Amino acid sequence: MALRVLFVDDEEELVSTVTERLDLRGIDATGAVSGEEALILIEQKPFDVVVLDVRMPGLGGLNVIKRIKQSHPELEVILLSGHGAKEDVETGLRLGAFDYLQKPVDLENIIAILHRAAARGRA
Amino acid sequence: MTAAALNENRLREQDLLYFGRVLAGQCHELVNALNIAHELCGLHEDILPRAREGHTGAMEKLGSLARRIQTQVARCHAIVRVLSRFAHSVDEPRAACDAREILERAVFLAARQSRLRQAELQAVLPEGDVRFVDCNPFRLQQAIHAGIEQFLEGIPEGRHIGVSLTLDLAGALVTLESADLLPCKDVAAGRLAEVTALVQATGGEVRETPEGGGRLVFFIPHGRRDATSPASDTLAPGAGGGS
Repeated sequence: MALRVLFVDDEEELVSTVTERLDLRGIDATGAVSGEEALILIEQKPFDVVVLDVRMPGLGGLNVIKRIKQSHPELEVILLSGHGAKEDVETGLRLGAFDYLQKPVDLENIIAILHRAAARGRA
Repeated sequence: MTAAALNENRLREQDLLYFGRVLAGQCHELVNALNIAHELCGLHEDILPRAREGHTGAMEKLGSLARRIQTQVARCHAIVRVLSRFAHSVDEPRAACDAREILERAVFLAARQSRLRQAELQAVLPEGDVRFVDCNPFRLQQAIHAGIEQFLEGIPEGRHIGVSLTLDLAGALVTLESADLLPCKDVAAGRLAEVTALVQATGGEVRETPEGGGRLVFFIPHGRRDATSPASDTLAPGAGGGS
């Protein structure tokens, strides 16, 4: 079964491009452009891993990971952060994130970490 | 050390913090745009073999990707252009400034913070020729930006903030307003003190504070002119239009 990934970032163009590239590599990727949209999608569809931007308008990444870990503790979350968001990343890791990636991120790195996260989720 | 010297030192420390904060925020915006361009280039590479094999729609897709990459490059250019003007605004402690350009720049630099608060930030600028005001350009834009931050901290998410500029012979009148401003919180009060200190350092005065009315109004007088100032003949009576 293909890896099911939810990619969440408020930059719509990034979301559509990354999800398309992941799809081309056989990953079942879905995009969301806000934390609120991500939480709705998680209730509607099963995912193996969520890639989550830390800083977003509205419900930020840290609030989203808190809610995910309450409702779906088995779901692995990878944080996506810019430079200078070290404290947010540390908080996210304490809240249960599997790992983090710093922007700009190479797609092959994303894929490698997605597989590692999914393997832990299935273990 | 005199009180004035102490105050100037404090303002300089504040200047440096502001400079760093703006640079960090705009670097984040640049990284976002570059990250998108990087992924679009990657997708271009992914699609290229399909286009070579003659897959339907692949050539059109490549064309569309090229345009999307150009959009991100233009976004980067806009950021760099504003950052360059911002960096040069510290060149002169007092200069003949295009107040309209400074206000536009302050609004541009606050765009990311506004987006994170889901606020609509709208600049209303006077039409017509360029008008100059003699003042400290860096501190004027810092005062406007700090005022915007005060409003962003004082309104619920998703609301509107208007920033307008009126120019006349005496100087520039900057007005920030929002119908949704909540009663002054401690952090907003701190911001107001910051705005007031900056406006005073530019030789201006705060004429209205937001408590109750939801408006912050400050005035920057035209100040001194000298022979080299491009402002010497640009402020005609009644000039500036208004908000």
